[in-house]
Amino acid sequence: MLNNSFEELEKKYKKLQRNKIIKNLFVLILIILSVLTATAYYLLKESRIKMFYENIFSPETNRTIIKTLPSPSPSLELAPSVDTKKLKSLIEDDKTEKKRVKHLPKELNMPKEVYKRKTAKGEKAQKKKELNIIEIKNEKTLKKDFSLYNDYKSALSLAKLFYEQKKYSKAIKWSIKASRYNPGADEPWIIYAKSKNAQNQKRLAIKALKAYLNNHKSKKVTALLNRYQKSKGGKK
Amino acid sequence: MNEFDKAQTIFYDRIDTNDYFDSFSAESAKRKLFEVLNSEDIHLTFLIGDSGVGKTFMLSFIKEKLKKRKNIIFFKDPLFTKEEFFKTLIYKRGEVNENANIHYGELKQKVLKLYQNVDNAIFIDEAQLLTEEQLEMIRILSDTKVFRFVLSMHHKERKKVLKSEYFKNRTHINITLEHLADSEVQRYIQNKLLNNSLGELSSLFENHHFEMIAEFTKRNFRMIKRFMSTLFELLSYAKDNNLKQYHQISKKILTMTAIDIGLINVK
Repeated sequence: MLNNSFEELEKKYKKLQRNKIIKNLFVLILIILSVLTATAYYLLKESRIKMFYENIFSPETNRTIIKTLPSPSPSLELAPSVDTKKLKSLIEDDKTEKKRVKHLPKELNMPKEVYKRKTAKGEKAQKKKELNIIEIKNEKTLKKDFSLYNDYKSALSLAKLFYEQKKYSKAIKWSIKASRYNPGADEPWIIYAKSKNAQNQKRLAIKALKAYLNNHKSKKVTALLNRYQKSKGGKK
Repeated sequence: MNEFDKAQTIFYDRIDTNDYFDSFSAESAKRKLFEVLNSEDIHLTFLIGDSGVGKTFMLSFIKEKLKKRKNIIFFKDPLFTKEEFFKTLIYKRGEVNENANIHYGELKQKVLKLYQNVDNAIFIDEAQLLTEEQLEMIRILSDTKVFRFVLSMHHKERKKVLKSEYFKNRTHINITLEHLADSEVQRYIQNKLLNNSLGELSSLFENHHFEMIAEFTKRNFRMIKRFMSTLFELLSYAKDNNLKQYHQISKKILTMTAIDIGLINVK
């Protein structure tokens, strides 16, 4: 004996089919919405990166760089094309500049006696070796971190590490990467500017800091900009 | 009465031991039950399975097969008192208990005496409903080694009985009866139709129809019977009312069957 009449069953079947269609449509709409959201987010991120490059490498900036700098390629940051003669003179200048850098590690200013008293020749060599290993480890670990997380923090750490190691080109490269992940943060811009300054490209450093301040507020960036502008006369 | 009406009746849920279907699980349970009932050492067996899997059918089938060799007493449910239980056993031996006020202890002694040299087995269905008192009684009787007990119970509620103090430390055998396999659903339906001279109806089904039936019914024996009975009732109605679109088995009519017996809930 049937629990429902035949007609009732037909109606219920139709209703079931309709419910299935609605459910499938709902799932489809959800999928479309999530795809659209992801695309919008990606495009927004891309446009911010584009803005960052436009701020630094606007045609006006490039023109002034061409006039003043020895290798003014716009792609200098990631793959610099180098004029070797000018680069040599730059390196010489850079060496003299480095001697004047105020925030060098304290150990370098320590009296020679201290070094002599504390470390024998062999020990000194050994320590240097150990230090190098630690540095390599740090760099490796940080790069591993970046490949794992692909985030602002690990990119910035690498930029800081290279800056401290005075590998300015690498510091610039990683500061740009870091700013892609967090376009509003001031630290990548500061490292970028400091590295540029250390490479005797103070004008570009100032330009970058100004570009940042056009869109954001930062005491640190302002202070650094003021410092560079005051001493502008002394350097290129 | 059209062929669909006839097909509807053959799937009614009733126990006919001639309808035994040799599924893999049923064959295995049957073999083990025969072994256990012929063993001298095992006096307690549990037949476990989900509702509708065919436990009652299996006990009925075994009873039927062994009726000439063994004295089998089958309790379809455990809704009896200790006295009623003993009186039934006495009655099954062809004796009438004249004294209505006879004490439990005396009844027990009488039963033990009656069955001492009788090859017997006591089947109790729905054993998950047994009370503590009944469980203790079964434990005492099985310990006498005079009786063999086969208790069938639902899979979900088996723990209550198996873990009770009465049986936990006693030698017993568990036999599990499983649902049909996917391919067995098809074989069961086809065999049933062929055995009832309805082979032409079997040709209405395609493989994916059997798969749908297996999925809807979760391969539960009782549910398959109910599903098939309802399906043929719908087909019969369609034929009588000349609804041509329902003259063949289709996804639609299978779904309508599932809706009617509550396997699909339409809100």
